[in-house]
Amino acid sequence: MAKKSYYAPTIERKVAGAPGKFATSVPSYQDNIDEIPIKALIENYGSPLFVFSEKSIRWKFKEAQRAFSLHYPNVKFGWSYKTNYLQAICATFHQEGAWAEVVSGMEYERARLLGIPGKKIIFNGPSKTKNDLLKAVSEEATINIDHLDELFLLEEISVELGKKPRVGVRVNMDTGIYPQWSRFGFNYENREAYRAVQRIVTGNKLELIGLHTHIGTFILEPNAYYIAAAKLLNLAGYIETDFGITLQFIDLGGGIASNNTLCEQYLPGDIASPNIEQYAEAIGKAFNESPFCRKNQPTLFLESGRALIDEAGYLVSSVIGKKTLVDGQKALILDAGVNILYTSNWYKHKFTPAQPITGTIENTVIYGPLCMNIDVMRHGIRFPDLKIGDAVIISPVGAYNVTQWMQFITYRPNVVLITVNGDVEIIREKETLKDILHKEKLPKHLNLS
Amino acid sequence: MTIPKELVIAVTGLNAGENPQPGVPVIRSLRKAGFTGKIIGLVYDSFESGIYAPDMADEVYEMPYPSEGADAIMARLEYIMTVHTKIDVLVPTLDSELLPYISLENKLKSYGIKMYLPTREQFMMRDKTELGKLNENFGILTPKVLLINDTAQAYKIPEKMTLPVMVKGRFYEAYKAHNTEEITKYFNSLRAKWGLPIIIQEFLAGEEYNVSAIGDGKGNIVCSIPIKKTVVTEKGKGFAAVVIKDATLDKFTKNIMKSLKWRGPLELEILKSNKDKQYYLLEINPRLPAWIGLAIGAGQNIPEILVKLALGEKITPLKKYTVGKIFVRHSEDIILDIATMGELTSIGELHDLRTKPVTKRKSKFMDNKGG
Amino acid sequence: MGTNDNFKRLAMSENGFLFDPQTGHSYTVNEISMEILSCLKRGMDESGIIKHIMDNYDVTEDQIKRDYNSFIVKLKQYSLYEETDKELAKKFKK
Repeated sequence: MAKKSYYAPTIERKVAGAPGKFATSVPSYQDNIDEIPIKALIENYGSPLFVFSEKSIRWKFKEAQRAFSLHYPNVKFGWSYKTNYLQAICATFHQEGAWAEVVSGMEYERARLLGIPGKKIIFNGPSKTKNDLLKAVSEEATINIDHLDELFLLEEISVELGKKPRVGVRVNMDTGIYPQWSRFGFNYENREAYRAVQRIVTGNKLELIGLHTHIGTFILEPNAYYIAAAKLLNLAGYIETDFGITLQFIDLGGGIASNNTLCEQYLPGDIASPNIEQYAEAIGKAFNESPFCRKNQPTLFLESGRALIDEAGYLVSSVIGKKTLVDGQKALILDAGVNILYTSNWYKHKFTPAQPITGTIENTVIYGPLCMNIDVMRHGIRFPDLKIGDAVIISPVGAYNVTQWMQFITYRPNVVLITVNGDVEIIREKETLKDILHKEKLPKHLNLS
Repeated sequence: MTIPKELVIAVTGLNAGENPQPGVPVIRSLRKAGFTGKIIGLVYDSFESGIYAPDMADEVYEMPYPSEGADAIMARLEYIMTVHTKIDVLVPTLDSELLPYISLENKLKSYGIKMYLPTREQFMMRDKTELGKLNENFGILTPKVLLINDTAQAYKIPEKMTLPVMVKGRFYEAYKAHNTEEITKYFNSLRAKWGLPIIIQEFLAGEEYNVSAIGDGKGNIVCSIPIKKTVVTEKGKGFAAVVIKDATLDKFTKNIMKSLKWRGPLELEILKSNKDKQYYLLEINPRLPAWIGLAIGAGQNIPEILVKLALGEKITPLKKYTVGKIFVRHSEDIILDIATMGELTSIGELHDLRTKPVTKRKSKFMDNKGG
Repeated sequence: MGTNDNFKRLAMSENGFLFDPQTGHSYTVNEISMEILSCLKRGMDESGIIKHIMDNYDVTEDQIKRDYNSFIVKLKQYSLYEETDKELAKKFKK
């Protein structure tokens, strides 16, 4: 007689109000990404493994382009390097037509190395050094000024190079959302931004070509963008009438939410977050209502990072151990920890088993492999019983992780790209001891051998 | 015309205990309308009391929490439809499940499941943090609202608003604060529970009224019953109420419906201010209220109309109702064997509830005494 | 010390619902747990239970041993099971 299929025994105490067996979804499994089996990915590239889908990146970009140009055709995206500056990822966005949006000298160099001319680089951020600016000005990058000292430095450089830097003014403002980001740029409401413009005009050493803002991060309220756009366009109108300068661009920065679920959100992100159409509609409305826009049709720059890349990235990880905690909860230990998944601090990521599920679903805590108490990938979720070696897909993880990750106690894993043609390409190799020791120096008197 | 008995109607929110939900009175109203077909209850917890009440649903199914997302809800409904029963009309009655069901509207329609719900935009418009915009956009009076996100802002409130003020959490809970120290105290406790922003609302003294109504999506009211709650529990739940008639209140409701072009059911919380005798909109709940049983007593079977609208039937707006009907909430203990609840807990569904009442079911333990 | 038989008083339903008439707690279990509990009720010891499960289900000895132990840990956490000193001693000798 054939034996019956087996799954691990479980027992759970029934408590009123606590989730029952059916109160949570019976998670479905996903055994491939873009038709490449997870098993093959792990066999060939190891576990854990970051996987990016070129198809999704390109699809999402086209989708955003379409949504925005439907409301305002003169729209241009700047790829936010800090969100993910792996060369292959940046190059994909550039092939789709995105400019580069950088916030440091290193990011600037990365963009140049990929062949992006200075004219297609938007240089933001509060920490541009004199050397960074000398290069950016001579290569005619667009520089959005963050504070007065930077403005003075640019005037100095203008004289030094005999070349007028092409600048925008970064503006912060009240758009009704919290927290209000006021640490970057010049304030709109107290007319600090207007005074900065006045200063630029009277100095006559800089070419003022635009206004920039970035109202915050993971903004769930499309109307905040309407307010931001309306305020910048209003300011642009004043600049035209008061100083006779017609600005070429209005840069609304990024901050558009992805489908991730914030830790404090009750409903999952794919329902709770507005879709890109709604942001496009809000921004388009402000542009189409503005007399300045009707007259001059300035370029609308967007620097969305997260919304464009988050869902294209997956982290594949494997179960290395299981235990029962003192409170009866089950714990899974994965081979990927919070050091490579920095965003687990903010999001309740989706955890999907990568093979058919047999076991019973139980309350489960998912830990990483670090020898640290903080290494919790997901608190109490309902999850099926997995076996040692079973794989899990964590998603969406495309934004910020491969830039903010930390090398800690072990090597950072391979990052692969599944191309549009279905090939798998390593876009960042797993680190080796040599990579890590490369920059270290051991003083002679400490040499033990 | 009564609702055809071949139809299957699904209703959520069957708790009628300490935290009463609208499901039980919705089912009662449908039965009173003469509907003899199958009603299924979609529940989240085997302790929802309506599951076990006599003459309620025919079948109940445990559902995944709304926080599991629309796909999880869809998967469970697909299971119910493939294995057990078709569903023709679905009536969600809880705030937290509305967005997922709104997002599933087209998909469910393709399965033949009809609903009558507000749009996503309408749903978002009534968020506590957004309500003030109705004043700007439509001239609907709402109490002044400030959103604050740190205690420094709390100290500036007396410059902007007259104390006392209401300090409210994003989703639930509200406290009256008489000075900045109290504001700070409630700010801290609400932030810990519901996150930011904290809503500071102008305190208006006055009389509160509630209206349950259905809008046709074009700005018209299909039916509406205004009430005054006469017994309110410590948790703010109405345990007794009386049907009233007030022409100004009717006008106010009409204006809201016209402005929002609301589609589907809603409950308005309205305050008549002592100071200026004006009506202020305090909240819009995008669903039927738990006291909806009173509507049928007053002559308008609002749940029946809701189901008919979902089915695409044309309804002539109802204008008449009987003033002075009241309800007094009465709770009763249902006695049943724990094995029956256990069946729901372990297999996620219970059947034949009307033909074989749980109170008469025998224990299903293999060895009742144990050992 | 220790009693070994708290699980014996559990009322079990076919579909995996357990009720403890002494404490008022109830539990849900799956099919394998039901099998193990029935074996325990019949007084079988660990090796017998493991053999019984292996005879009927598609599972390796290594896997069922691991799972059996973590299941017993859970029963202990719910105060449904305690090994007697004699049993512990026996286990220790092995």
